[in-house]
Amino acid sequence: MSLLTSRFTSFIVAACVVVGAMVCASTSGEAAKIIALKSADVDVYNEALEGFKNGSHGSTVIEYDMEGDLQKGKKFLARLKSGSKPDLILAVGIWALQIVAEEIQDIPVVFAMVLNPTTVIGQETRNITGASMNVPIEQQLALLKKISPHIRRIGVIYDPSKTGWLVKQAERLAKDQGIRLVTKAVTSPKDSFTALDAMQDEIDALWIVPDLTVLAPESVQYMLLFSFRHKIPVLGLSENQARMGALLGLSFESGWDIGSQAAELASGILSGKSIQEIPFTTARKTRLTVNLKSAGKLGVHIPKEILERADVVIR
Amino acid sequence: MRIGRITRFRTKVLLSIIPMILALCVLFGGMSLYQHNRLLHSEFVKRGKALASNLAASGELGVFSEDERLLNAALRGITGEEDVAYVFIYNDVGKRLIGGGKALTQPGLAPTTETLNHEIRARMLTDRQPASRTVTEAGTESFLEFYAPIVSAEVRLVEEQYFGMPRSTRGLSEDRSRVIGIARVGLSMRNIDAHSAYLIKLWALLSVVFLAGGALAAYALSRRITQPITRLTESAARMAEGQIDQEISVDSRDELGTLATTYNEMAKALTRTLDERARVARELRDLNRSLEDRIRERTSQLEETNRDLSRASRHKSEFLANMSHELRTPLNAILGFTELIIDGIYGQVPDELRESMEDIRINGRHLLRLINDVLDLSKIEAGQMRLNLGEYSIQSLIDSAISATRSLAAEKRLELVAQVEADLPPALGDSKRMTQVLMNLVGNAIKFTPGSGSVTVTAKSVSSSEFQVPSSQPETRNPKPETPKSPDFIEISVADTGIGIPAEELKSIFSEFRQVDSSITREYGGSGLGLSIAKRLVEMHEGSIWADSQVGKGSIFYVRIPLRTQWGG
Repeated sequence: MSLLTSRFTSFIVAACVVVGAMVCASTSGEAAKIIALKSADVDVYNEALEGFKNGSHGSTVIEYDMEGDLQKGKKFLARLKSGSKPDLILAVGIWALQIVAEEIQDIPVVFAMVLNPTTVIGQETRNITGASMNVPIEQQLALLKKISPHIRRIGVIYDPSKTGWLVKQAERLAKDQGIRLVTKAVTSPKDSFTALDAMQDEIDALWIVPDLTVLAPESVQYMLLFSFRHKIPVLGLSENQARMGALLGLSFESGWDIGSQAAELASGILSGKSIQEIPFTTARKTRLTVNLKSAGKLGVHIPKEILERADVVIR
Repeated sequence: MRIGRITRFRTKVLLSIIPMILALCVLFGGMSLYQHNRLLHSEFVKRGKALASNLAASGELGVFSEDERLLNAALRGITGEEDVAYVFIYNDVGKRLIGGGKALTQPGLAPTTETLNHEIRARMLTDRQPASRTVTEAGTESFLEFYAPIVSAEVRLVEEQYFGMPRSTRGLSEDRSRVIGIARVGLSMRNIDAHSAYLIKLWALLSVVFLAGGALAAYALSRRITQPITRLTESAARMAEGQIDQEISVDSRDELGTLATTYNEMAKALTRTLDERARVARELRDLNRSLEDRIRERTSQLEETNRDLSRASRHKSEFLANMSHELRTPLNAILGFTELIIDGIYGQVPDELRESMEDIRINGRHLLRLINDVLDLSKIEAGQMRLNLGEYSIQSLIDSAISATRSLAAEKRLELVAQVEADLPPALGDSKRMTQVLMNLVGNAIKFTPGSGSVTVTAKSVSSSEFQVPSSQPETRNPKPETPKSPDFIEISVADTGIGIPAEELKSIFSEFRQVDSSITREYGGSGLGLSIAKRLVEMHEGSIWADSQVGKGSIFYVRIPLRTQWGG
């Protein structure tokens, strides 16, 4: 079935390329041609694509699903380069961005639904911008601060090679808000255990950053365990982590929203803005999950304001 | 014998029930024991696997961090468990991260148990399935070991914290779980073995108890069955000895009770029948006794009568014998004096008296003859007659008879002829009695032969073979000259041409007081005793007498006597 679908899709793509080229040739400048490369057939990516399409009227959006296969995506890009070039490439998801960043230098690229884009895109890259999945750091810090005025020291465990840039930003932002960030750099997942144990008396809250090294299930498990043992609230990455026991979970609201953010960026580029002038965006809308059960165990009172703001409350 | 039989029945019951109980005990006990052991073992294995899996799950953090505190925490829960002898956690390369358990503190446990078997490690890494094996530690204690892989999920993308990423395709999305360590739990079999041993002991004890109980129950049951039977048997034995009126107390309502009831009824019926029979026998005996009495009475009556009769007969004969003698004496006197008178001894007899005197003499002689006849007969009947044996000549016997009767024959003008065989040997016998016989026969012949007839007296000798085989031997008709005839018998016949005797009367003419016709006595006179006396006399000579006759033509009387009479009378 998937094979059939992929073949069928390839055929459509090929047809569209040909048709698009003809359209472009006959009515130059009329409708922009956008190639959308999807990392995999995942619901959130599909939502983002829909959101993108919704925000880019007048452009022809041609989809391609690389089905999580980097080689397949690369082959497609090679074919694309040999033919007439699109006006813009939309990379949905981390894998699509990875290969596009490698292969494409002369076509404007907008990404969507990517976390920590700086780890993928090199410093000297000039043709890529996009809407990341990251939640604005200041928002996260502000949220922790709102929970309790006693929270002044926030612990962060990170791998400098992965989220060093993020922690640097956060340290700066925290200082502005009067919060001290207690950071521990680790290089392997198991180091996070000792790192966490080491900071148990130094922090008022724990902030989980989207760092692959830190996010091994055991580590997350241990962090949550740590949270309960030492009554330290945890700000998690997602609703999922909140359900597992983190006091709070703050994530992007929906794929659709990220997709529409990317569409705005794309229309800016197509209307002639320089890509270098357009920075990566963070999630414009966020989704807050509050775990009241954890709050009870931790002895934390959640302010009414936050509860009202919360999208999901786990009781 | 009786007791033996009953004992055997009881033994039979015991022998049939005990193996049954034994078989049941062994079968059910063994089965339940086996089942229980299996269940116990499988539970044990399940528990071990669960413990190992549990340890694997709780040990994940510890193995992941290789943090001793976490490893200890993971171990803490399990080492306190019952039966848990030792617990080890290894990392993926087989390095022991931590170990614990009661067995580790014991001095006996060999350090070899602490290292992980390579084979098992390889299996854990590839199969990722819990496994178990039995370890016997130097024959002292055996352990059941359980292994479980400690699996960790590897995270490749932070995105996975937000949404699920596809995992079916190649490249980045292969199975990302991996074995990071191995949990090993050793359970001591000591308790389970002890429990099994306890169960076996319990089973053996219960078997013995059941066996004893069953034997007791079987004994009681067989007793319950045999006791009434014994009573029945004893009663039947007493009945056989004759004590018919037996009653067995019926104390149960089962088949045995029915048997006893039936038996009692049978005994009653038997008693009734026997009573009836005894009554009939008694009646029969009484009847017999009365019958015997009557017979005896009758017999004695008859005997009495018989005695009276024989006494009377003897008296009669004695009387007759005596009377004849007494009669003869005066008659002889009368006859003697009459003859003397006729002979003129007392003077001349006047002519007018002579005829009367002659009548007296004739009638007197007749009376004397009658008296003699009666005397002879009564002598013979009284058994007083004796033959006076002596040699005599047949010729002279016949001659004397002829001469004595010639005058009588002449009176009736009868021809009286004697034909005597020449050379007859002298005979031995009572010549007087034979003369009497011959005289009687010749007298009869003359008496019953009318005038101008003839009376022929013949005598001849007869050999015994001649009449014993009269016609079947043709040689006797023509006897050979060299075998001279030896005469054994004399046959004398008296033939007449008289009135004859009817055939039906011929047999009875030799009976006493019989003549052919009673009218004959009147016409011809005679006592009617002559032939009877003749027959008795001939028979006394061991001879025989018989007669042939044709009515109107005449009769022939035969007398055959042995030549020499042996018997003296």
